[in-house]
Amino acid sequence: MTMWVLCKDCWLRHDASTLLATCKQCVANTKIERPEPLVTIGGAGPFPRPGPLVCKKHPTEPLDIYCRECRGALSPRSLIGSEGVVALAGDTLSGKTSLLWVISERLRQASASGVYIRAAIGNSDQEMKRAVRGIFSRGQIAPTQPHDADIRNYAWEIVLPSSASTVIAFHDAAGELWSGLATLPRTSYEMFYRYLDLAGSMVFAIDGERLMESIETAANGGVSTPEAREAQTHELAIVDAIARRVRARSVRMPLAAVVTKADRLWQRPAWSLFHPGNGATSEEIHAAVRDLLLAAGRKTLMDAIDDAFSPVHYRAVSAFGHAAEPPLRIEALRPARVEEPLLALLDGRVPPR
Amino acid sequence: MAEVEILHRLFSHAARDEWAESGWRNVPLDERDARRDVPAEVLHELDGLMAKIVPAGDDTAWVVRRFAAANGTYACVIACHPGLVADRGGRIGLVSHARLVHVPAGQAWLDAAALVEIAESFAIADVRAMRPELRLQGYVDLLSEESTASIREVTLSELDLPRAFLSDMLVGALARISRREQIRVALPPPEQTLIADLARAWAAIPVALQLTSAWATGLADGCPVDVVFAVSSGKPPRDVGSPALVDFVSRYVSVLLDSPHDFSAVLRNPEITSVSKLNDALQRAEPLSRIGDFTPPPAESVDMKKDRKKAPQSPIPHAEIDGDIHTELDRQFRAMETSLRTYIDQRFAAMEARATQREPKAAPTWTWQRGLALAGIIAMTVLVTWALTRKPLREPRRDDETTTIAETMPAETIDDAETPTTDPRMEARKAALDKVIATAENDRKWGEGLKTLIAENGAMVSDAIAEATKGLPENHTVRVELSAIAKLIDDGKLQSRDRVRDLLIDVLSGRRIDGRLDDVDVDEIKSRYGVKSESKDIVKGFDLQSEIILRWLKEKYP
Repeated sequence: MTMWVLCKDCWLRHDASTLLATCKQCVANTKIERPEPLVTIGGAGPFPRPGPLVCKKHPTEPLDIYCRECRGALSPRSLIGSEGVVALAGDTLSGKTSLLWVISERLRQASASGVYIRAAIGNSDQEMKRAVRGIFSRGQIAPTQPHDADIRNYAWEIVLPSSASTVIAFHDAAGELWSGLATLPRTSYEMFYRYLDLAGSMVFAIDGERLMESIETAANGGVSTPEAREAQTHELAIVDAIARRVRARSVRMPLAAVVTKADRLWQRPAWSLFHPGNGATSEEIHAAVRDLLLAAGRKTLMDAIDDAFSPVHYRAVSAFGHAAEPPLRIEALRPARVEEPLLALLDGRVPPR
Repeated sequence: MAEVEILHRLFSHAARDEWAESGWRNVPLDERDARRDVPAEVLHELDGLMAKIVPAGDDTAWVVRRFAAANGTYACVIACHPGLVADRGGRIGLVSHARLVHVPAGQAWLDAAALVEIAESFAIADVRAMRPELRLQGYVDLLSEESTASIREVTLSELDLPRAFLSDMLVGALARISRREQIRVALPPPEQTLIADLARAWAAIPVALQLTSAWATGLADGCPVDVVFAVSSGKPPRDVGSPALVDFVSRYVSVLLDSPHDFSAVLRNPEITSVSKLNDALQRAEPLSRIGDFTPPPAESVDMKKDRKKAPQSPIPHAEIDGDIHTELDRQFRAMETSLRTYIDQRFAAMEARATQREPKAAPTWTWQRGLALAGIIAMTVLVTWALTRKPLREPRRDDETTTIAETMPAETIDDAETPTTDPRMEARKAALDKVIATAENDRKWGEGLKTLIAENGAMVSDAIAEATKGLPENHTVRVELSAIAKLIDDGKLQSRDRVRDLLIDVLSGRRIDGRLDDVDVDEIKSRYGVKSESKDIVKGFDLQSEIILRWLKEKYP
């Protein structure tokens, strides 16, 4: 199985021909500290290699490898296969950043199925800390700016139940980027498009609070608020824009449709199934989320998802276990089912090594 | 002093009403909105920039840029205020506010400094005192008081900043200019006046060069600027700029602040679009300041016949001449001396031969004449050398002695070294290239043609390579490799032309420069350089590659 070395800062996947490398022994001997093409000092050939990457002249000296684009150091363990990286999409305020942070924290310890984060790749943990620093400093998370995908890029090496490991990588993009994806200029968002090109599966966040609002409006025979209508429009726009790209690539992309802020829902008897203490199985949650989306007037959205993606996993999660009212306190957070969407996507992966 | 209308552009996470879209959005400002007057392409770039600004802490972040437009430029100062508003979800969001002024072409104004002054005097405390849901509207209402700005021209007195601060700012701003690498540079305190001082110091960069510059303070990662200045963090400027840049800036600041001449014409010069062009301009201006007390003698004292009593002395004391200039003078003098000696020896040898033919028995009597002639020629050489080194300064001088430095280096003369006129070397290169192309057009052996050209006119190819890679960062892999190849060509040691072809095609293709050809649009590059070959194999078609390179060279040596 061919793999590539991922540069999560540039969103490029490298084979041997596009990597640079240095040998510490060569540098010491020549006094020239300049990365050379990997093929000239470490040999060509596909990844993964049977042994470590070593210098041709000094076979016991491991090579340091670098991205040819940004010249940043890369981890030789940062290998991705054809399934690429995981895109985390969703509208503004749908809870993407919180979800990603809580997943990365929860997986530091092995899940029930034995999946856990072995190590952060590059500066992922520092980036994550910066992204959620508002929680620590102000008890509140800040909105994400519509950057290009040059910051808020994360990659972690995950150990699978088979003890093999793989790399998962995300970019946390602002909801505005996703909802405006159809008209987003590639000139200003080159890295974001590279990230999209690498995406092989997707977590799509749907704001549970807006779903609740839609259900209540329908029950009362009222009219949707502008915010609720906007959320519905954006969700469909995001799925349509990504579906176009998926179809253009003629690939099969798995998707986890995730209802966030499930704590707002599980207080209602109809949706108490989402509570972590309920003990519902993945299949039951899957069916319940579909019912929820239908009840909230999201049939068109479900049809669009089912048309474009396969397989589709419907899940409901709560990043904090309660409403995100400030001040948030770390010790009071009770994440519920947050790992399930990612584990569902990883379930079908072939262990690479 | 000019009174100029201020144009505004405002973005925020807060919505002005429930019908406005959520998230990071433009807040329309009606008649004050930059959308009214600013060209669409500038607005597009500005909006993209504003979307990526995030303050690093709880203080306002600043970004300063200048945008090019058909009728001049737009100076732009963006202030990004954290924690001022909340979005619909109650999350603490940002307000980013760009102030722009239109600057007519040919002006060098303290525009960024004026905009910073206005932005700093904005009553942000009054906005913070409002209820969160009213702050955005309050901010917009207060903006109505900002309609025009009084902007002064750049003068040396306006640049009266501590010399070290000015030098450090310029090194930081120029070290990665146009690369948008967001390097972090530490500057000396005080922090309170940092942004105002930086905006003034920025005015020391020529306006045309400012168009490629973008800098900031108080900014988090992820924003496309060249440099982020700070007082408490970052690298010292000397660590981000090369020794050559640090030296250049030091000399530039000396000329700027110490020269009695008006330097503002250089700041206005539209041709100075790069640091190297500024360096060229500086080199033309520099001898005046580098030679210390030396000033060219007045016109009447140049005539030596009128003042024979004065002891002849070098007009430039050696002790005051820079080492490089001295070495160059010495080299030129020795070359001329050698050449003249050879010439004289040949002439005397010929004369002796003729004299011997006329009077075979007569002894040669040329010793004293030869010595006299040599002494005269050497004296001439000294004078000619001195005159040559002064020529660029002296040429445009007017009799009234009021010439400015800028006038001594008019825009059209800055690049005159690049203008092929009747330079015999250039003519020889053109002829060689024409011959190679004519042969290859006949026999279709373009690869052989390139080989011949490299073997016989390597300098022509290596010069072209150097120019082709000029736009790449100095440490770019392809630039480094091509520079090494150019040296091999110069030394006549190039063994294989495969790599030079690959890399040059990669550079010429207009696609990603990564040393690979798989992304090259063959039809596009063929059409761009008028290639007639029918081959489409750009990866292995050596003749096709060679033809592209030769056609490209022909464009360079028309």
